[in-house]
Amino acid sequence: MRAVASPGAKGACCYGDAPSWLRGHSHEVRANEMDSTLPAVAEELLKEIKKAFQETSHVPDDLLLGLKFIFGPSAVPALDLVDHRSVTQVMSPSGRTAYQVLGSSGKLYTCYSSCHFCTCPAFGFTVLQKSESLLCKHILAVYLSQAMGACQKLSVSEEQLTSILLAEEEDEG
Amino acid sequence: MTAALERALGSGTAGEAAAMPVPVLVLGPAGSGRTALLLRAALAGGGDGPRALFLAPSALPRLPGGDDDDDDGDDGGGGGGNDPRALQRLELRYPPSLGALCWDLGALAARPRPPGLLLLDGLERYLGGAPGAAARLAALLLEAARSPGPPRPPAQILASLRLPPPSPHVLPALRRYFPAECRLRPVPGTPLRLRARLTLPGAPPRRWLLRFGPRGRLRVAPADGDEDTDPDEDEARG
Repeated sequence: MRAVASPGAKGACCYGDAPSWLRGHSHEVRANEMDSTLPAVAEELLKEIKKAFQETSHVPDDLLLGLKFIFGPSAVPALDLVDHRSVTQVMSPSGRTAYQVLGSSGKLYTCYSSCHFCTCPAFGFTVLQKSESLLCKHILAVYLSQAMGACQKLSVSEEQLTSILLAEEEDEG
Repeated sequence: MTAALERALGSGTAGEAAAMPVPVLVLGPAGSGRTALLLRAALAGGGDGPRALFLAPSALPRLPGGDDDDDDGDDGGGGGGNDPRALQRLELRYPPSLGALCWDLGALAARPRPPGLLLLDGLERYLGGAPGAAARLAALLLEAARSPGPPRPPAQILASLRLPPPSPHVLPALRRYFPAECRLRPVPGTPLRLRARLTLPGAPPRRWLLRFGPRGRLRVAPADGDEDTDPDEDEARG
C-alpha cells in the first residue's frame, strides 16, 4: 500500500474541491465536541479504509485522496509510517494500552489511546498552539495502522506502561 | 461526566445533558469557591455516590460541614459533608508537583478498585504557560479515568482552574479535553454569593446561585435568567 495523493489540500474547509468519496457522503463535523473525537467525516473515511483494506489488501485512490483532503500534510507521512510498520500498541496486564510510534528520524513518540495526545513537537505546535491540524502524523498513523491491522503488539508491565505514558516530549523526528 | 456536578448543584433533573460523558472544567477567579464546589461534588449523594479521589497541590484546611448556625437543612442539593458514608468513599491526595501528580494519575489504573470520580483542584498551580503541559495533564486525566479490565464507565472528571489562567495558551489547550465548563462568578456587592453557569456542548447553559454560610457551608439554588452573558469571558482568555 502506498499513498499517491495530490498536494494542496489543507483541511476540510472547501468541499467544492472534495474527492469523489467525500462528495458522496454525509459529512457533518461534530463541532464543540472534544477534539479527541474525530469529526464524523474522518471516522467514516477510516471505516471505509478499513473495509477496503480487509477486502482487497489495498486502499483505493479515492480514499487516499480523501485522507489527504481531510488530514492535509499529515496524510502522506502517516502512510509512510504505516508502510514501515512504525506503530506499536503496548498493553499492560490490566488492559491499559498506549501507542509508540517510531518517527522518521528514529525517535520514539507516545500517543495516548483515550484521547488525542502525542509527545511530538508538531502536536504541541501545529495542533495545540496554532490549531492548523486535527492531529499529528503519529496519531494519524495510529488510526491508519488500526484500520489496516498494521499495529505491532508489545506486552509491558503496569510500571512500564506508566513510564511510557509519562514519557517526555521529544524533539522533532 | 457532569453527573457528579449535577448531584452537587441539585438539579433534580438528570436529563440528557447530565448524562453526557464529558469532563467538566470548573473556572473562576480567586475566592470563587472552586474547591468547595469540587468537594461538594465529591461528597454529593451521601453513601451512594461513587468512590472519589480528590487531588490538590496542598492540603485542605477543612472539609465542608453542616454546622452553620443558620443551617435549616435545605441546601438545594446533596452536600454530604456530614454523612460519614460519604466521607468514607473520599480519598484525599496532595501531590506537590506536576511530576508527582502525573505519577499518581499514571498509577491509578493499576489499583484494584479505581475511583469513579476524579477531582483535580488547582490546575493553575501545576501548570506553567506551555500548552503542551496543560494538554498532557488533561490527557493523563482522561487516561486515568478510563478503567481497564471489565467494561465499566470511565470515571467522572472535574478539574478546577483559577482565572485568569497562567498563560493565554492554557485554557484553549484544556478546552480540547474538557468540553463542559462550569463558570463561577462572584455576585457584585454581595459577599459570599456566586453565580454558577454550566455549559455543555449542544445544550443551553444552566445556572445556579451559590451562597457560603458563616462556616463555609455551601448552599445552592437554581437561578433563572439571561442576565449573565459571560462578562468574564475576557478574563478567561487573559
